[in-house]
Amino acid sequence: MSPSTHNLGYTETVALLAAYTGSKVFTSCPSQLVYLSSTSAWITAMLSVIPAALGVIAIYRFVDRFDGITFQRCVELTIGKPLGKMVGLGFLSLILGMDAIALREFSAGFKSAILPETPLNAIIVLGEAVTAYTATLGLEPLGRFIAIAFLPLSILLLAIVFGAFHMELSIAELFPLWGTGAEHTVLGSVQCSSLYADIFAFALLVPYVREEKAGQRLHAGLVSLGLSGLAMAIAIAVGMMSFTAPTLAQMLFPVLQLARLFLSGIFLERIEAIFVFAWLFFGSIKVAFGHWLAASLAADIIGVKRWTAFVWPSAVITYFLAIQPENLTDLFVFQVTVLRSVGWLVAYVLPAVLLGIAGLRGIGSK
Amino acid sequence: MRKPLACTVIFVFCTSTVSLCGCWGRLELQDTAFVVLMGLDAVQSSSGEPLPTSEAGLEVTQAIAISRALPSGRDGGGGRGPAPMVVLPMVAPNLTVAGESIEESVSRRVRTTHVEALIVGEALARQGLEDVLDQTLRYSNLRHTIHVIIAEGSARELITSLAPSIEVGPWTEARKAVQSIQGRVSNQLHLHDLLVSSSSKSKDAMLPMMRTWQEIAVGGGESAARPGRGPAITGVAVFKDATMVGKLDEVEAAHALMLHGSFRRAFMSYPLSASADDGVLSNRNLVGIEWDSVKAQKRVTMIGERAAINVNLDMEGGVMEARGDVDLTSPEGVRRLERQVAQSVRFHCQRVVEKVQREMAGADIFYFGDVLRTTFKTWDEWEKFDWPKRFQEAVVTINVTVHLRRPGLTLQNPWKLH
Repeated sequence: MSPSTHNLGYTETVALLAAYTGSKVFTSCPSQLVYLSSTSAWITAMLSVIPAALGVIAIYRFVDRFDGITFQRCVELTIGKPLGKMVGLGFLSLILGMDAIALREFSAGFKSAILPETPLNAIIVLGEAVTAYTATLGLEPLGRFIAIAFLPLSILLLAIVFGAFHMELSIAELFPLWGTGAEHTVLGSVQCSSLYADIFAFALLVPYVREEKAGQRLHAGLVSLGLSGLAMAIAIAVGMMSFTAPTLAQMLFPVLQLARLFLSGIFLERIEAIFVFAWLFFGSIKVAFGHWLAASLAADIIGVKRWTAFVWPSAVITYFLAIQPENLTDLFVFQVTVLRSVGWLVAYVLPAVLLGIAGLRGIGSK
Repeated sequence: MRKPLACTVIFVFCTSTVSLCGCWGRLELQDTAFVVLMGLDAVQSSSGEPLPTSEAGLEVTQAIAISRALPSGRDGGGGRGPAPMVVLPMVAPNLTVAGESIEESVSRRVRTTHVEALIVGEALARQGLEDVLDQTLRYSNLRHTIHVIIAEGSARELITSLAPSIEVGPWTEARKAVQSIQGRVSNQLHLHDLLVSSSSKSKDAMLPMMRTWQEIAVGGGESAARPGRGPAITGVAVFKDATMVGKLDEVEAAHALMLHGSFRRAFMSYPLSASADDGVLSNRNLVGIEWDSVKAQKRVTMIGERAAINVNLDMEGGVMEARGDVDLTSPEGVRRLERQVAQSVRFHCQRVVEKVQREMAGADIFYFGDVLRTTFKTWDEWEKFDWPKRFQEAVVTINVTVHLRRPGLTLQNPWKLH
């Protein structure tokens, strides 16, 4: 598949990537970072943006060498078709896996927050159907929709944070500043950059983004990454100031717990169900965009143009992956142990290696 | 599909996820009963001794609002007849089972999402609330914004004896009584505060203690003969982690709050020494002060293995009552009074610190640990330092500066001039 038009603008790209990467604040990711880095988790969240940004630059430089063709085609041109397809399958697995984790976590959060009696399976299936159909509408409506909804949704998210300010926020809970130690915090930020591994979507998105000014596409990737890092750092810092680091490290839905603290007079409480809409939209967009990424990459690997044919199969695979973990503890431990260790290698190092190979072989230089 | 239409479809689909799933767990309002007060006590043995919760479970008292007995208008007046609530006590292994069991006793689905206060009996609080707190963290229906009150005696007695007086529901009465002490007796009123303090190594909680006061006739006309009991705050319960370790009366709690730095505004009276230099306090000379602002500057340093805590209190207020040899007509008189009041405040503060250090296992209700932990680099270092133990041996020095900005609406008692 080759993108016929560069039909995604700067704002749409930033909103789409920021929503895709940053919506993890609604899941257990803030707690995972506190679990790993203790009181320095918010610093880790910000430092992790640096290796992730280097990854984004590597991704951009690699795709930019080949003008106007998709990421999979770039890979195949660099390392040959058979190996390229294997690498493509690796990337596809990462996308499907992260999509499934997001689907499971958002559904579980939704059930915990407002629909405790609804079977989890029903929420997952319905969520899957909605997001798969949304993905079939294509990239442009998805981008436009999130560009319109991004600002109000972000304001809603900030309202959650500031709503929690009613309760005493203790800055002392951010100390000792270096939590597990300065060295561990700095070095650990490389592994923790896996937190933003979803930014790998940028690789598949680049050919579709309009570039009205030089470097605008790279700028969009970096800005969206920065926004995600900022959201994560704020969520962690406010979470720690509200709950203390040891308690936050054990929470599965820290932002939901923050929203439950919203108390502004007797008539403005018990309103977290309203905030659920914010993470419902972010979650839906994230999973839907994940389906689009998986479908378009699968179509590229197989070499067919009709990517929509792969949306529903990817939804089915995602569904089965999402119901694999027996419980949320398994999922939490899997993310902390496996995904944090491997994610950054696949998302940033592999594209950097591809860039190196392309550079050495002089392939695709514009 | 055209783009605006596609965007609309995405919006409608996302929204429908909520409404479609809602059919599963729908609950009509008329089929729901709301618990408004929840009481927890330790089960007592035949000899009246509290039994450990791990063996005997909990005595859970749930007060459910009778919706038909509530007036339909806003606030609706009050004090008419008995409390519009059903009180259901039961013994259960834990909160979850109690929540399930209560549905066997009432015709509606019972919800705890609108609980106004969690009342814990003193005996249970002294046993420790770790298990209860764990359940409240997991159980999403019990909100962290509800008030936590420690009952003098048992929670069951407190809930059953509460009757509406000014407000329609005793639960509102209890909530407002707790809210009224904010900033002058305790600032830790919510379940969330207890959760945070009990999980932090640098601070501990002090929660309001309540009992019912003497019988009062409520309402007018026919209902005037019906007795009711109103809630009364008697001080605070001091917690070490999640276990109650002692009590402070209202005056002690107020001075603890001053050292904490969150004292806001209150009227307090102080007996004064005969002169600024002798330390003998006497009620013959007494001054009533309305504090407007109390600022606390805390500094914690380590001298060898011992922590040295220095607190500077900067207080501003106005004189509301002056008895005895109090001279507010001259600048010198005002300065002397300021020094005398400062001495009295320092005396109260020092006494409360010593009491907490000596009798309450060094519970840091003053948040001195929060100041010290900022000087540590890593979490491990902070944990090894073991602040809770060191606070018991810490030397606390308190300096008080008082500024009496107003003498009230008059300078001197006119009858004294004769």
